[in-house]
Amino acid sequence: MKKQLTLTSAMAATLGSLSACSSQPDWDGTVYAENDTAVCVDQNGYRVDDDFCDNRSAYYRGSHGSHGWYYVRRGGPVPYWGESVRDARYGFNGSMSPDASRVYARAPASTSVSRSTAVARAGFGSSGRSFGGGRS
Amino acid sequence: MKRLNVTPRDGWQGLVEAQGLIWHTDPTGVYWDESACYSFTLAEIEAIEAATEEVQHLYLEAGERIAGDERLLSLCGIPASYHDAVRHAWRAQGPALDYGRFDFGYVGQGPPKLFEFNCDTPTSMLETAVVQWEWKEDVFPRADQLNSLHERLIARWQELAPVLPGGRAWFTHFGDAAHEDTITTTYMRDLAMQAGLETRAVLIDQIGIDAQGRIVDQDDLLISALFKLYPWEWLAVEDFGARILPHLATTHWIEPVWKMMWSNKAVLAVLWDMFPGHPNLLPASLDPARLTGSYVSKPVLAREGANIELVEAGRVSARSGGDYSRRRLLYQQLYPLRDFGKGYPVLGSWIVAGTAAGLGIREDGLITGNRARFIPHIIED
Repeated sequence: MKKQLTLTSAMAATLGSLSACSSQPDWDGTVYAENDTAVCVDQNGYRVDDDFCDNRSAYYRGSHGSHGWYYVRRGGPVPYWGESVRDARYGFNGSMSPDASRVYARAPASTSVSRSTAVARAGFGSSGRSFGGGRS
Repeated sequence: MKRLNVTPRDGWQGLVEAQGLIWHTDPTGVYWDESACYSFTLAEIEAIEAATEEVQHLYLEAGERIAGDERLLSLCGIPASYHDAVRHAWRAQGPALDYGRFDFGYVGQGPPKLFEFNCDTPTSMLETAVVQWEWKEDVFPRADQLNSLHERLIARWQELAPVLPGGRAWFTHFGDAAHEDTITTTYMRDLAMQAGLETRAVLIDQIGIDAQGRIVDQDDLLISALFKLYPWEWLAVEDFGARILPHLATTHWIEPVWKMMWSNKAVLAVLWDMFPGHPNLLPASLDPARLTGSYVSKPVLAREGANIELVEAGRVSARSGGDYSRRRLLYQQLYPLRDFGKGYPVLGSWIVAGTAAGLGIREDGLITGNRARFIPHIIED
């Protein structure tokens, strides 16, 4: 039986590239909707896992006002988990009311994650530099 | 159990490199050595599998004892600041790959004897799971091999995926010069992707910390689940070690912090104390006066066979170098390894979720170090 290695070429690519930035130069992390997009928010307008609004999901909380869809216009910034669609700093341009003439897509998986701001880096790794690797 | 001479495949270097094993040779010689293989009977393989699964049960019981005893947590080399975290993680039994590699002494007769358990950052995964299988398919296509590690790790990731936020995991390691850690971590990431997870990579020194002590990646994304090829005993004492404690549980660490109870040598003394005379254990103690005859002394925290001494008839007969402290040592009865012609084999028996999953053999002098050669195996009956 063959063992399938889907990352064979990526293994070679990692040799010289893992320390390089995994995002585009000067990218601030904002993802813009390629299509009209729906994201799930809680009652305070914070983006949460879309499963909470999906009535097919085990995490569905029902239509009791605790969660609802927020509709992002194409080209607009897509909120990450934990970001408030009411926070003017983010410049979200959507609405809690859908446009009946539009079809809304799910948000890209890359936004199904929470962001924060690092106040420090490089606090791990000193032992690896001394011993040459973490394997055993 | 036999050692067979085998003709290496033409162009074997390119073949194994294509599979990711780029560290197959260094200036001292070959690491991946296909000029030989070990052959086992099915009965011998079954004995190795049974020993692997049996010893896992012993570790589970030892974990329960250690988690409830401050003195034992300290003896295992766990900093006092981490005792609560270890205890809570053990009780919670959160997501884990639940995998590792037992190193056994075995000569084809008698029960396999445990040397140690590498269960926080075990390596030689790629060689065991893929490279030796592909070698077997080319050279001994009709023979079998103790090898389901690749499939079992994918299955384990599939089980974990629903409980990881966003079905996502980050993968981190130290950027080592030989790229062994890089490739091994990439292989593990590949397995997670095959299991349907979304994955991201972050080098260990790219990890940041936010104002609340939560870890973020190089793009300031909060890391919700992190596979690390970097040991807990290093993380705990580095600059971020204390700062991550208040929010340790907001990240699914793979493997979890409670693995600190198992991934040290002192636990071997706990095991012998709990299960004296067990057929798969060697007498072990933190006090050499409790052992009779020849023994091995190993640092409680060290890796890849570093800083070990063999003592026979009261004299040091062999010693390995390294940079680890020998301030705290574990003493273990010496197991008489057998030289099959080109060195002494140590059996690396893998386990995933309680089931024996694969066998990787390394051959070296009396102390198996980081220059041991990896020798493939087959099952003949």
